[in-house]
Amino acid sequence: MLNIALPKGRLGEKVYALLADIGYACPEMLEDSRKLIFEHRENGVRYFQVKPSDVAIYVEHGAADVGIVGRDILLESGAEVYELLDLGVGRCRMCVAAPKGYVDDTGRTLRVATKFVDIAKQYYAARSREIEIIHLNGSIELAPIVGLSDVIVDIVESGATLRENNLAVVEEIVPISARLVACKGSYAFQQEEIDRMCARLKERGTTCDSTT
Amino acid sequence: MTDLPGSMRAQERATLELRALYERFGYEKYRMSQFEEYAFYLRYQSFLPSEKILSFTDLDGRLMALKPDVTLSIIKSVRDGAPKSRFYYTETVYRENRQSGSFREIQQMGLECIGAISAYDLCETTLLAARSLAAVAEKRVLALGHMGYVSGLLDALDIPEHRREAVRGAIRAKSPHLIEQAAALADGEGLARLRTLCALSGPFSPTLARAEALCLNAAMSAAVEELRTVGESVSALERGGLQLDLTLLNDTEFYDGFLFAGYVQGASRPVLSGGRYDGMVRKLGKSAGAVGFALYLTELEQLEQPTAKQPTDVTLQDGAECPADLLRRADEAVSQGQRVRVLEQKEGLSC
Repeated sequence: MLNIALPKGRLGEKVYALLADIGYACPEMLEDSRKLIFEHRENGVRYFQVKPSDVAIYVEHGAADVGIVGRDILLESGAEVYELLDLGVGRCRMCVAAPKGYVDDTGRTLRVATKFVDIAKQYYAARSREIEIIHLNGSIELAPIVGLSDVIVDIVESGATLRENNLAVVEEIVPISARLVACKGSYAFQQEEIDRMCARLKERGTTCDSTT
Repeated sequence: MTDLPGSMRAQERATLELRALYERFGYEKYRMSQFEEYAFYLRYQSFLPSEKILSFTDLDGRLMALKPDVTLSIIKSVRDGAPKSRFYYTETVYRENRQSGSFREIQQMGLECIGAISAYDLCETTLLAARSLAAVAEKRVLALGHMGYVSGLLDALDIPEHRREAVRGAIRAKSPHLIEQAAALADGEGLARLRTLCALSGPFSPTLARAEALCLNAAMSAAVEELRTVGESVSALERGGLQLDLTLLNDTEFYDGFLFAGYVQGASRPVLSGGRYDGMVRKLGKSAGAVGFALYLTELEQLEQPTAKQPTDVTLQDGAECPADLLRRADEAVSQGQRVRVLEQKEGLSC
């Protein structure tokens, strides 16, 4: 039996459809209910629906054997898991953005507003740039417009929100997409089943092996 | 009193069993001081799992640290040029808990063999690691790896030094999709080899055959031979659970050659880690080599079922008789192997 942590929401639905298609269906998942655990003994799966940012935690601690998580959450959490496959869905980019026409003054500390504190810190530390982090939980685009920060570090999907707020991408930090992750302890004992799931996902052809 | 308490946890029993096992293999108990000078760990920070060290100022003004690691202190204590030393220990270390953002106390047990390390020493240490896992869990996996195999491949493919950390990170995460950007190789065949390496884990013998087929230089072949010697010697004596995992890489500078990790069913991360650490010994100014491992007892504690309260055989009432008589009766019952409970005094003494 494989315990699978799926993120609630659109990404989770998309990935469940993929998994159902390759033999890991659990029809109860599609019913309208408040249940959080769904099991299908014949297909050998038990799904947990959890908050996207918690998937890596469930997997790292072994409550789930595998999980589907965005690369952004994986990088931010620093979770000690195996990142086995790029599923190629939920594609977007982690970027530095600023008001159009922004000129970086490298002579002073850069004020960076973000929800992704660790990613921003690591990115600028690698460039030896002194920054001040302004940790926000939402509407990050507002920060440079009202003078709270110079730039933002955030996820950019189509870029529409940035354009509507007169912002533009300055630099791309890393491409983001959903990844299949596995618990290290589970992998030691269930390598065959986990590798089989990986192989079926690859065969299904929706995954991308070399996106980053 | 020779019998062991009924409430003794499986992990405590295992600790006693393992002490006896290590001593029969010639290891001596090493008891170290609780504290080390903070500057000592600062100097050798690259060997530690975290740069965060729990420190305090001693009464004489020196900045001290609660040990984040045991091995460094043991190496320090060994005289350069001394005959081979074999030590085992049961100690507490203090490390950062990344998720809670605080320090945690970790109980660990382990052993170190320091001196001119032979192939036999590697086999013996690995066998003792396998036996240590067997003492704590029925379902277990001991995965062997080799840093020399991976660095041999990176050398053969001319991966520049500044890219190696990212490549090792991708290998450690078993992520073939992260390799391309990390390695930035124009050579498609080289990239394919790195991707193959990401999948080099599984049952020992077939995985070793796949690893051998991937060898490109003497360093990789030497690593394969060392793994074969250890794997075959140990699996002849300790059946089951032996795997090969060439993605098993040290994320600090601690282990620098042959290494291994132990898993038990139900634990989300390794409960045992070990290997060869000659580089660290040399950095501490000794000419010897070393191999050892640590078993994380704190991790095992989480796996145990809650112990039921022990039933009472004899119940006595405090205050119902004079303390001397009550004590004698309690002692008599205990000496007959019964479990006694003296209930709280309700009234004054009756004698």
